[in-house]
Amino acid sequence: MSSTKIFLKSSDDKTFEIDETAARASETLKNIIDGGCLDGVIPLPNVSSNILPKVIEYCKKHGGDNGSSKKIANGGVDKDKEILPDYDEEEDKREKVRVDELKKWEEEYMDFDQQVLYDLMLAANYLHIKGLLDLTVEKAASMIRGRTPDQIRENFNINSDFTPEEEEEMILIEDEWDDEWAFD
Amino acid sequence: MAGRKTTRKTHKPVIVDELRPWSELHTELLELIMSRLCIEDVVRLSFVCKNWLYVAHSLHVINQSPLLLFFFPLKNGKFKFFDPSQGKFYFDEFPELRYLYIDCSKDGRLLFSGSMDCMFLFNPFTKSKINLPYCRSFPCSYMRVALSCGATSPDCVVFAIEDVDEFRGVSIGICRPGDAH
Repeated sequence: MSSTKIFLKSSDDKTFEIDETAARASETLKNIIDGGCLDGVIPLPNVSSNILPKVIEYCKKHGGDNGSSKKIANGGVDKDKEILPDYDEEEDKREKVRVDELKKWEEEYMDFDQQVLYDLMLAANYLHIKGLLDLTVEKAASMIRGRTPDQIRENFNINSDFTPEEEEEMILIEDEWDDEWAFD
Repeated sequence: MAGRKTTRKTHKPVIVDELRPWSELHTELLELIMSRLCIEDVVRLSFVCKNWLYVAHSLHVINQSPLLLFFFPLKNGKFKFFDPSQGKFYFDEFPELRYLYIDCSKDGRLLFSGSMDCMFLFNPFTKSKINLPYCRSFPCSYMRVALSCGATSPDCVVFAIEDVDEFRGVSIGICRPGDAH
């Protein structure tokens, strides 16, 4: 599809090109485009040239196709299926293949370390790209689930800023937690 | 296939060496992450650093789906919670709550009273306790208590109505934060 080109300038003054349809995946960019204040290049002082291509890659995949992320959220199941008797099975199959392909793409796309995750999450938040924000937030949550505080610190490279006395107290609370709370 | 090739090409060069200040992550984003975790994970997360502890404290009651509470005053003040969203049971025990009864609950706090002269608000998660002036005229009278809003709010009013007996009718007691005991 031919579309107007938009230019984005990263925090370190590098310019990247993106199709207008792809840029519309970002609420922030969409508002700038619709607001008519488009003056050649859109400066993004919060996004570096390391991360911007990654963001653009996501937008290219999802731009002008807002339904896809919703389908994923519903597990690819179409709610109208039971209501419509003349439901197109072929269409259903194609949809399933598309959703599977997208899931696989997302898996590959999200294969990076916590530093990139941090920058990408901030960029998704700043640019209001809901699907990308959901993906990054979920990845961060998955790095916390079932982990001990020490493991979480290691995952995110966080140094504890509690005093030794506070740490002591934490350990006591943790032990108490383990002793008193039984999880099925 | 073309799509996959571009993926490889673009995501390889993303190499970022410096550490990221996760401990100072925007509150809004940390709250989003916490909203996807269950209560045990939020508790563990709050032990990671001071800022996360602060955010977890201000949030986890609000974002938590309601828990169903079973309380056994005669069994050493045993609590049993059921989390319907996780299908899990949690147990805890507060011997100091033995022989007391729950009169009402509001925003994570329970109002306890006993036949002896005590009445207080108790939060089973933080174990914090707020004593209330005792307003019961007769130990065995029939009493109902209600809270107007969360106990930490300065506007909170505790309202108690008590059916004393057929000659004296009902007695009503009201107290709010800052009232003299």
